[in-house]
Amino acid sequence: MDEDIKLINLYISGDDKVLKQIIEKYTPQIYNFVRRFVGSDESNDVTQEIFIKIWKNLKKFNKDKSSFKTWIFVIARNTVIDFNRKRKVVVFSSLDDEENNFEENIKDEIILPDEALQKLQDSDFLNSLLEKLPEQYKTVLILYYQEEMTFNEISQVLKKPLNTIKSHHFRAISQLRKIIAPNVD
Amino acid sequence: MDNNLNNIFKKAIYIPENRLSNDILLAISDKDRKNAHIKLWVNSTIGVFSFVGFFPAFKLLLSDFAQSGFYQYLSLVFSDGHITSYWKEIILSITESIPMISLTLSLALVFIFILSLRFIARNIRVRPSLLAV
Repeated sequence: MDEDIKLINLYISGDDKVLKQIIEKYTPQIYNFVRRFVGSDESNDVTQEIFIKIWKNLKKFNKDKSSFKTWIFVIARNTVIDFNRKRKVVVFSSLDDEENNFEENIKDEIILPDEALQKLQDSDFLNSLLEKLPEQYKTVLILYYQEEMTFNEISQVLKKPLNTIKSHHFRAISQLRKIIAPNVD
Repeated sequence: MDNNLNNIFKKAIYIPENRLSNDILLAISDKDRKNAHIKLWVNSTIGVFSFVGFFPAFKLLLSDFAQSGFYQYLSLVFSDGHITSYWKEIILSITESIPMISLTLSLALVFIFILSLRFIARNIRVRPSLLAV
């Protein structure tokens, strides 16, 4: 059985202490996700709010519907949207539906040249590039490369069709390439 | 390509402060305690009201039993030796003389009181701290 499911079952059966394990395991991932869409000053508060929601709804988690990680990222995404809506910042807005017509067969080799990869080794540079991407694209890249989610899981988190997610991924990399091109000598 | 990007992205992760997990646990623990206090207060209030309400309801029940002739029918059962010849009628009369409304009210109050006691007992038990290892 999945380690997360074991922990959740223990918590539901009355072992409150496993909550600490769950929180310690997912705090870095959720914080990193939140930090991308919320200013550094508010990231701690929003992360805290997300975990309070997770704690309140833990007994409602349905392992047949999604993995625990996907479930908590759905909560994180919704909380970030609510938070930014209050601040009147538009996040995760829908991009054009043309992406639904996206062809699945994308060739990886067209993505980023070695020179660009070399430039991206600088974390601050990468983070500044990510800031320039549309929120949807940035989300897909973060969930795919940092959280190592599959496109299927990302489509569950963002509630978008699988092809749209693949399209976002492709376009995100293309945009990254365009942005980075003038910087690559 | 994907592996390269994985490694590059992994290096650019924002790391939270060490105390964040602990702060989250403290916030949850605080909420948990507040919820427990609210539940305790609500159930205590319900318990007190149901306990106080039980006495007039029980008094009303006794008076309804007396007015409906229930005691007379009941005493007939034990005093009349020929009860077997009209037992169906006597059972019907006893049943009809039971004051259903005041009886339901009294039993409901007892039930609510027991339930609130159960909730109170659950809430005042020593709750293990979420921060305990």
